[in-house]
Amino acid sequence: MFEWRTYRPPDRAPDRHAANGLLLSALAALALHIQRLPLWLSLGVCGLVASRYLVENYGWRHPPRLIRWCLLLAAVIAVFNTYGTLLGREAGISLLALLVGLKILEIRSLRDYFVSVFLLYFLALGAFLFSQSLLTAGLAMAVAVVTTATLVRLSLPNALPASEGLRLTVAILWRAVPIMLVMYLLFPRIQGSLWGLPADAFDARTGLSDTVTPGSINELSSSGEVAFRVDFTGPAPHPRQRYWRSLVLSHTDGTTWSRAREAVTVNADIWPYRGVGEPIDYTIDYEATGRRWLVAMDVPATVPAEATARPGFILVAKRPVQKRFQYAMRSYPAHSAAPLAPAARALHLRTPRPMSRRVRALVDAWQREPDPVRAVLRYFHEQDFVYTLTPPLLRGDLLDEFLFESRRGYCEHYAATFAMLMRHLGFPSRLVVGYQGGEWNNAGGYLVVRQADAHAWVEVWRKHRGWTRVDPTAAVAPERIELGMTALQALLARGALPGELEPAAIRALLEGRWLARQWRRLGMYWDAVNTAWNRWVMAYGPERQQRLLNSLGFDTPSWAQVVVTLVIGVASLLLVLAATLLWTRNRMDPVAASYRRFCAKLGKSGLSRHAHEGPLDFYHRILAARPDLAADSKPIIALYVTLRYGNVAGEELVDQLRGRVRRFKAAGQ
Amino acid sequence: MGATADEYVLGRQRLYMLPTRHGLYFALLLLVMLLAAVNYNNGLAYGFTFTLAAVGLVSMLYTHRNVTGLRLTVKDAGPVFAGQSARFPVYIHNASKTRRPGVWLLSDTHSRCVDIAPYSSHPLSLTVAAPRRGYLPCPAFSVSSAFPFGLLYTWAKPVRPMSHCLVYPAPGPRLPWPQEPDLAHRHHRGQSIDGDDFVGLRAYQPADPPRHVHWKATARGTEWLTKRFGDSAGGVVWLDWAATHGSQVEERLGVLCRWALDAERAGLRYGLRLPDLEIALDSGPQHLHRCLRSLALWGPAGV
Repeated sequence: MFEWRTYRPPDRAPDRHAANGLLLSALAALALHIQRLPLWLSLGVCGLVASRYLVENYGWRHPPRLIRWCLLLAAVIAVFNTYGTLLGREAGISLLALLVGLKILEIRSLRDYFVSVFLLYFLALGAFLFSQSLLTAGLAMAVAVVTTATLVRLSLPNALPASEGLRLTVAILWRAVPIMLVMYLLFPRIQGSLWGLPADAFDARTGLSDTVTPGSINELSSSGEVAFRVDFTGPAPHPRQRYWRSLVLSHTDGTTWSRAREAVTVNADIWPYRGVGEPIDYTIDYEATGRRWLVAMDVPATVPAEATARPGFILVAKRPVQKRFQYAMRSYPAHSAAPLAPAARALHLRTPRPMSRRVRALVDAWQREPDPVRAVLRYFHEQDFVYTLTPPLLRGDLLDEFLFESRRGYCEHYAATFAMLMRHLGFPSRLVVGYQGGEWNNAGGYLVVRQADAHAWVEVWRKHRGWTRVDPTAAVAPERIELGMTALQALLARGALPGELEPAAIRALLEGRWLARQWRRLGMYWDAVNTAWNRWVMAYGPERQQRLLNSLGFDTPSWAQVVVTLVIGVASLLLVLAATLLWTRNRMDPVAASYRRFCAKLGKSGLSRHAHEGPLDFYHRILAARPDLAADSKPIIALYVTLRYGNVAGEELVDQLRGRVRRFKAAGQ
Repeated sequence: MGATADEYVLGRQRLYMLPTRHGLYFALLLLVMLLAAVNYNNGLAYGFTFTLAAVGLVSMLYTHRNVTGLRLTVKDAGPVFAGQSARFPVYIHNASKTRRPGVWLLSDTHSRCVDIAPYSSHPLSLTVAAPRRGYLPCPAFSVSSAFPFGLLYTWAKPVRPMSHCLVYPAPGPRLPWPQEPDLAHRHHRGQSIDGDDFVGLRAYQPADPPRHVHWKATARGTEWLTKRFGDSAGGVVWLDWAATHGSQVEERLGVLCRWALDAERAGLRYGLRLPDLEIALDSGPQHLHRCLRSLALWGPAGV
């Protein structure tokens, strides 16, 4: 007579401690987002949590419904005011944080608690839309643990102390890791998104601009944000050779340099490029930029699957880079020259502005030199040109003004001026924008190139050699090239004048204090750990999954096959876990085992317990039949009855019983 | 399985599991999180969602472990009078080294949450109203738990113990003895003197002192009665069905029940005469129980 009826434990109102646990979780989840939430919002949510604390612990009155509704309305309006929208990432998270605060304020029933916990989970998830770093992952996991521990206290009012809830949560989490991994690896990943993403789904990131206008901005971004990291297969090239090209700007209107709009076929620098020299193999770990251009060393010989090659030895991604990704590359230092086509020659010689008289005099002088390119570089080196990150603004005839008036600037000024002079001298030339240098990370054995390493240089067409890199900045501030931008900035910050320093003095300036060195080293280790995280964890996507499935023996796995594998994997892990968790259940209860042993000993002496005989009845029979054993049996029976029917716990008692039974002897009569 | 009928071990065969309402919401939450992860193609969001899902799955094992292997022992409840509550002793033994918090004992009318330490047993009682005389069976009950997160709950197939409770009839109003206790049958005791013991009631006679009038009964509108005090130990009285008035069986049994209790308290030797049964004169708790038991089980109501 089977009857389908469920027996569900009744809901009980959680106690004060559970509420406090929830408040703590809410603060932890808020801390995850504090850097991107406006200050008023963080303070507001803290205030809501604090008022709940007072309600919970000091008997303050619950705020009436009207006030809560007004607060909600005010919150929505304030968020709309701040962001101009209620949709999207930032506004969404702000609204969610406020909702958590308001929900916590109105908690009454167990259901409210659960809703709050679920909102907190969602808030923690939201952190990943902004950052996928190891730190974010760790913090979000901590929030999840604290929140889940609150769940334990919710369902077990006054049963467990807080530490026990945490311990239990961590134990369960630990056992859940293998199952999580199977799900993570096997859940079918798809390329692209299910529906449109909000406009601000990805950060607006700093990166290279595709135009160069010297003198238009008087301060260069010194962002320490990482642009990309490079792993070299062989030895890393010398710092002087670390030029990472991204864009080639061939067109100029005299002020601004931009990409050539004309489809000009420049022989030799259209794909396939024919590199010559010693190849360099490397892997680039490219951070998201939201733009399409990638980086490569001088003459790339390969093109990643995600990109296409464009004239100018540059690589362009097929779609904007919204996620960090890696690509393996091979580059050659130079290319085999071929004659420059007339159209390309014309483009790269175009000079929209006539020269001023002073400039013309200079150019005429250089024309008579055997090597005009070298002559111009020497001019930059010998005259009082100053490398500075805060140059004055330029107006009017840039070339004239820079060469004769300001003489202060950074790479863009020197490169643009130099390229223009080259064109006036009759050398086809163009501007290359990218990065130069980078910081070697000893801990991870890779090169870190930051946004601050952004650089501009010039390529000049030389007969027989083709496009040749010339970096005028190196003539003014060799430290920029030799030591890198980070070091140069440090030098500039200490008031040093680039181009005029002794190597020893530079080293002394750069070494810094012991603490600063240790801090830098620590930073390198942290970056190395994060890079490993990005490379091995975050890079897992559809392609890697495909490779994994192939190695598991699926040649062309179907969706259904993968899902079935996933389910089987999870189920078998659960079974294994169940076996280990429930195994102790199969062992006999030590109390029963001891008692059984005691009965067996008596049974051998001819006094066996009847199947339905209780311990006390049995004792009375022992007393009657074997009074000699009564003294030894009595404490055993008493212990057994106590352990069985008294509300006592204690392993000592169990041990005591076990010991007494072991020592018990029932010699036959 | 346990050796006796009223011992149950909660094993896999007896245990069921379902998500709670909150558990269903949790599943919905996971689905939404997964959609977000897919849409943003966000590796960590996948990881976070799957971690929560895996924690939910593993918690299933913890929920099961929290009740599996528990041994329930149910005993007969001590006799009660109709209208009182029967208390069936239930022991939950935890013979494992794992603590079992949040274990609920649930019946139709009863719910109680206990926390059972390792290697120990927790005495509980299942309290049931006993409205009518006769045997009251122990109600079916189940053991349930939503440990650890309240997202899933497990419950045992309800236990229907053989244990029962004997329910005596509810004692009726105090009425005069069917006949004066025959003090001549006193054996051991000495002289009769007025004492402090209440011995019974008799019809009011004008000479009775007012403080002996049973005012409570008077207030109920019955005839005037006088409480009698004295040391009548050792007297003999027959509690006879025929001496009770009224047509209601239960009412008459109630009167007999009250007489038996009063007689036992007064130290009388008493016998019980029911239409089809006679219990010889005796006294003492065993005898009282025999008499009350006969009253409880007498006639069709006592089946």
